[in-house]
Amino acid sequence: MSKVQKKTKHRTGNLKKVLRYKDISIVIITIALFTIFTLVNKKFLTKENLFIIVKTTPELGIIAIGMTMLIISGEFDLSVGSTFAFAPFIMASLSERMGLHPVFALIMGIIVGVGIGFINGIITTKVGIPSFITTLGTMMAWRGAVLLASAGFPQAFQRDLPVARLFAGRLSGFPVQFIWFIVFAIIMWIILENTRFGNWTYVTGGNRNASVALGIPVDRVKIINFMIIGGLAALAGSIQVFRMGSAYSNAGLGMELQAIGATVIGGTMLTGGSGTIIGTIMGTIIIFSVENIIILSGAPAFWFRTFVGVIIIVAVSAHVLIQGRRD
Amino acid sequence: MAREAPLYELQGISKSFGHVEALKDVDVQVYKGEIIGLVGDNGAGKSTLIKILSGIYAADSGTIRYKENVVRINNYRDSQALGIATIYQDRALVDSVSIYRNIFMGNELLTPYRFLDKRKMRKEADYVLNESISIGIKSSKQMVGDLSGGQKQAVAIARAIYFRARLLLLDEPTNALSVKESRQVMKFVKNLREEGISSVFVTHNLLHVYTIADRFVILSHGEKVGDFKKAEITMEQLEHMIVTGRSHVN
Amino acid sequence: MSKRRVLWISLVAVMIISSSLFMVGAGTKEAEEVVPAKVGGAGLGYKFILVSHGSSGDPFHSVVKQGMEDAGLVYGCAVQLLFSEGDNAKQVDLMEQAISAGPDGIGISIVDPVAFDEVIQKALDKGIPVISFNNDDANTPNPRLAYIGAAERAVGYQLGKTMQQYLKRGDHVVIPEEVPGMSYAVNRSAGIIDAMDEIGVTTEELDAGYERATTTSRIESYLMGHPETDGILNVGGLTTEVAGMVVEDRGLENKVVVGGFDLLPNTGPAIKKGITKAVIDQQPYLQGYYTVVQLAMMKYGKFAAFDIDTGRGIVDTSNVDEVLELVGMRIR
Repeated sequence: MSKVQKKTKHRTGNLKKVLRYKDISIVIITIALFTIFTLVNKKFLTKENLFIIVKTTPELGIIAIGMTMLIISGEFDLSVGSTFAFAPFIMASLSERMGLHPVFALIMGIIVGVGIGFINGIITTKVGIPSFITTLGTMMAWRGAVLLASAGFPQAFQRDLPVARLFAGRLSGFPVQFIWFIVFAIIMWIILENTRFGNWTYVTGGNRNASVALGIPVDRVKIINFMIIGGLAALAGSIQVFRMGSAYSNAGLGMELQAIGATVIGGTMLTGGSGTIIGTIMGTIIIFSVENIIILSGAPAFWFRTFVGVIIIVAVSAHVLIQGRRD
Repeated sequence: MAREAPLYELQGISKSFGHVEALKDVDVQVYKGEIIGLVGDNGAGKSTLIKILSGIYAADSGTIRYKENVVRINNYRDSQALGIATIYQDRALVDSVSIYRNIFMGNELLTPYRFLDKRKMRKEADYVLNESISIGIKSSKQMVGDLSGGQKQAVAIARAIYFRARLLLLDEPTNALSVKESRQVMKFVKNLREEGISSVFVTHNLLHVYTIADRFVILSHGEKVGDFKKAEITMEQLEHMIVTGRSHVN
Repeated sequence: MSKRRVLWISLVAVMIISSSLFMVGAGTKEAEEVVPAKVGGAGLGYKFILVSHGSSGDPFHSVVKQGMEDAGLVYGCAVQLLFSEGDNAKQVDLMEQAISAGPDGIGISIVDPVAFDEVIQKALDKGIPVISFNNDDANTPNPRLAYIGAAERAVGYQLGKTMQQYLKRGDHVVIPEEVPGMSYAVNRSAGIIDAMDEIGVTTEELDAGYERATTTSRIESYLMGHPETDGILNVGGLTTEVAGMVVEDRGLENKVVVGGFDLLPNTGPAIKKGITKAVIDQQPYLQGYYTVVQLAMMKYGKFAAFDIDTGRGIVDTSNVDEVLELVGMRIR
């Protein structure tokens, strides 16, 4: 009898521990939403429909991963939507106009993205302007640059190149880009949770003064996170180019808010210092699946955004209830 | 009574800010395993003295000795290298991460492949929390933000101890704490004395400082006006001296 | 301020200045083309300012711009084009600035029924003729002297009329809109619905978003949830392109027909494959071209202004190749 008691106690203790674990509540909410969605419309949980969600989440999701790290370190990047257009445009131009090998062109595009992040980081940390303002400025500057470079005309890019198929092709019907999304998520998760740099990212965002007092190079940490998100935005934009076969000057419009949205839905605090990659993956999937279920169920066009907004607030509220509010 | 040489010794320390003389020719000795109550009214120069020891301010004149050798403290790192740990009022902790990550922040333990050695950090953190200052923290995986004020103070001290601090500078450590928590903090400062770690305890609360300090250094308007062992002075006399700023004459 | 910080600020300043110089350098080539050619045409030497609600990055407006600049070259007039990037208040400000520059004529795309009435009257009072292009305020009184462009509702109806042959009574079509509520979307979809009502086809509007990942996902989701859909009739170029790709991707070429606007990179191939049956070309080049011609003639011969309908070009398999060639030259 006492053994049984001990066992149950142990079990509830474990359950508590599991619930306390920071990622579990968002996973529970995602599963709950998927269950509800399946009950609402049985088409939701079909392979065909899930492929629709899986096909387009990576473009936003890859940016959102970078956004998560940057927000944890205590900064924002509003320029990701512009980087998402500008860097891949450079890639497509180098490859199609100047005849550079597409792989090198992709590498150059990502270097451009990393460079944009570096500039954002330098201006924010060394000059001391809030990143909200810095990246609002660079958001406009890089959008202007891509407009100037393209004169508004899309730049074609061959869709059937090996590099395009590697990043946006199909693997027996499954969109390859989702695999890349997960690969980058795992890499960033390892960096964030298991390296010194990751720890510094958390503490820099959590308490900048304490981090400085303990000799952590907070500026360097922030700049590197700006560079990571810049590179990831360039990569995500390139994936869209590979998928569409064209680089557009108006690509990525409004993506900065979507990325911040996915990050926050996933439980990352806008104040910095806490957040997880797994949460952000779930946040991105939630955004796309909420839109999907509403359209599947035939919501009228003008009510659409209202439904999306309400469901997202409900989901985040549940998240707060499960996990307990933290200030 | 022949006594061993002081561990830390400040001699003739002066510091001015513009026309204001914050410290005038102050001498303080800190012996091993000793708790010093640094007392005085507002503006007496207590904080300035602490900040000189922790490397935030440089003294205008005077010498600092560690084990009889003259040393310089130019920044936080110098102070840390001399085994001095300052427990700030804001505690220099990050609420949003776990205890062990706080303890090792900036000094993370790594595996041979350059990943965080979380297992070892947790083990060490649990050890230092339970053995050195046992204050009822169950697991070093807890978030610091979930701890009470006294427990946070303990984590900050645990960090100092883990990195082999020999002198803790506690600036108003019981200020924001409940009565129970204050008692806890004082208890583990006392425990540390048994391990040979010295403390300088700055507080307004005479009751607290009188309970645990071995010696009192009284500052008034930047000057040292008294230096007594606990046996030499009563709490009323101490209070009188702080208020009047005059050396007590028996 | 610390020395270090001053250093950083100056470094960033240098970076910004040099990169903007670089961009200006990159843009000069284009700017040179705008300079009025005294040698061209009659060399009238007039100066016109055109205020557009569009954005410089929109291919559609880039073609309008090309038409204006070409007309400027032919007639030897200086043409300056200002973009408000969709901001009505900013467009009014730009209009004020245009008036104080004292040009020989102003063209404006009127995207709001009342916001521009006053400022247009102000220009006319100062003796500067004003005509509208691309977008017009046709339903309420407005002092502009003429309108050069197409009526959005008629354009939408034209698309619907063209698509009637591919649909039959009882069919269902979805109308994706990038930004529901924008005047072009409202009027074009109304025109499409008029044409669909004529042959008894049901319609539903879809808020498709203006970011390609989102648009792709939403159109696919719609097809998933509404397998009865027989057609996707789009009001904008972005959704037209994405819809063609989605239909191909899902192997619905023989079930779902696509129609829409403009020739974005993937739309041409979709027309050739027979997925996208037809797109309407609003002939934006002519909207820009005739606006400048009209203004020049009004000044030159004191002619009375008159509306010009710039037509509705239909692009389908029969002419897609030749139109695509002209797209490359920024004429279509």
